[in-house]
Amino acid sequence: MRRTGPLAIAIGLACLLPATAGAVTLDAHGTRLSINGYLDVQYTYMDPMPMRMGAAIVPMDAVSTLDQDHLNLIVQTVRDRTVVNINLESRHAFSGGVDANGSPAGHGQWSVLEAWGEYQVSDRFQVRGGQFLAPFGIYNHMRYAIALFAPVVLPTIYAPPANYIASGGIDHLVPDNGNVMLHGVAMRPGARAEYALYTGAGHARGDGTDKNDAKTVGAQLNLFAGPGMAGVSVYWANDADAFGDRLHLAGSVEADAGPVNLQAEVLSIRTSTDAADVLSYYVRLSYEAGPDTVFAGYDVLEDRSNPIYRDGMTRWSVGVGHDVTPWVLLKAEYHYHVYDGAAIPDAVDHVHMVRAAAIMVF
Amino acid sequence: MRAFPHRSRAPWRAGLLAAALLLLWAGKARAGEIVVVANPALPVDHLTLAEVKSIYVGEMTFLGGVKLDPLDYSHGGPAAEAFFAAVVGMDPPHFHGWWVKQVFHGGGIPPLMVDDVAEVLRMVAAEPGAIGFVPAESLAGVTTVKRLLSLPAP
Repeated sequence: MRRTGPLAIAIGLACLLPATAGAVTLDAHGTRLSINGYLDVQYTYMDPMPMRMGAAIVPMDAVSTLDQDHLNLIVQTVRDRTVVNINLESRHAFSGGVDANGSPAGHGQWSVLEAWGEYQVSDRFQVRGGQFLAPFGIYNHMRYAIALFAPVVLPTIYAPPANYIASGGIDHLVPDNGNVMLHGVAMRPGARAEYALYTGAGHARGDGTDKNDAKTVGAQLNLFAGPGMAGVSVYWANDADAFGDRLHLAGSVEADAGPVNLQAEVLSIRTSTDAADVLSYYVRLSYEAGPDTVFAGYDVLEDRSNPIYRDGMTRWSVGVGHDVTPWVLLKAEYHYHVYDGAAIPDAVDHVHMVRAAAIMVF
Repeated sequence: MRAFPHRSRAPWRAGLLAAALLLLWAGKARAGEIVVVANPALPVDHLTLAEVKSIYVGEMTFLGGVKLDPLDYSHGGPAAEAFFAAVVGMDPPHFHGWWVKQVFHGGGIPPLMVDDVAEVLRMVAAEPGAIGFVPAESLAGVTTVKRLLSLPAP
């Protein structure tokens, strides 16, 4: 563990910030520049868990880490109908504890997660170009800041449990080699429809040449009426080097009844070879009382390409959250995983995980 | 007879009471009665409370083909307290905190922070898409802005 002291002090001081604290904003000659920040620090304990070792599945040691997971700075420039947005990300500036996968990648280096420009013709028609996370499901377009709006642990439709060899769920959708999106919103009293249509040119190699991989076309439609939302997302990509054509389909619903929120999503990934088909879904019920929130969740993940998830993994979750101020949030969660399938060693087919996080935004 | 001395002091007491009530009334008017104002070029003459909310939470960014630029007060104050309580059901700090989260949610553009009522009136008069909210009494004699919605004192 290193460099945790200054961070703890910074978060402590953030709790004391005056209530009017907010984004850095400069406005001059009709051009507005603002900078917002997101930072989270997470503690994780995880029981010994199954891990792929070649064709076998073996127990992996328990994990106990303290990790600065995300630090993002969003630099936004607005002039009349034009918006330029740059999302800078630094991950794992420090990480302490035992982690069988080794220290997480990143080590505090800064990278550009998103960089796009947008021209807003009207509410119904806006065009965006550049590098950005695609709107898919409820969270993909802001998966780096998901802990602001949901449990700290990603739903399984977006990612498998932390510290596993990556598989299942969906990775950052829409790659980094030029994307275009048309999107907008149509409103009537009490109802709203949001749409997005996008295409991506695929990944680039390190030297900037086209990798001919992950060519993308996608769309999303979300309907909001009263306290409810229903949405569908479609994403097609071609992975020449991996599973061929991949079709992602997702359905999302959300409903509010006073302080109670119900959210559910389902994801199906169909591959041309059927070898990497994925089915995942989750349901989450939360209750908000002033600055406090409690939730319970249920996730299921099946992934044919990964023997750990081939016969299914089920996760039950409960958690609490507390907004210390509008800028500082604390969360604590317990997750219980059950792995099906004869290939999973008995010692690791039931896995407990505890995660706590301190989140700061400005 | 004994009442007379009291009656003789009554005008002074009544005057004090009237002055106190006037101050209370004036204070209440400043804190409570808010008017949403826009540039006269904006092609609407009235907004509903729901429309004002849509504008301030970033759902509605155009009106009649004009790009909207909602204004907010950087230092909060009674007008902001009353306005945001009526429109979004939050106090200013929580509304600002909510907007910070929204920036991460989808790249929305928060209301522009200004210092005071005079700056709101100046910007609304100068920019076609500017929309602001001000205490009602600050509009006495003002002809350079359009009144779109009045929020009565709570």
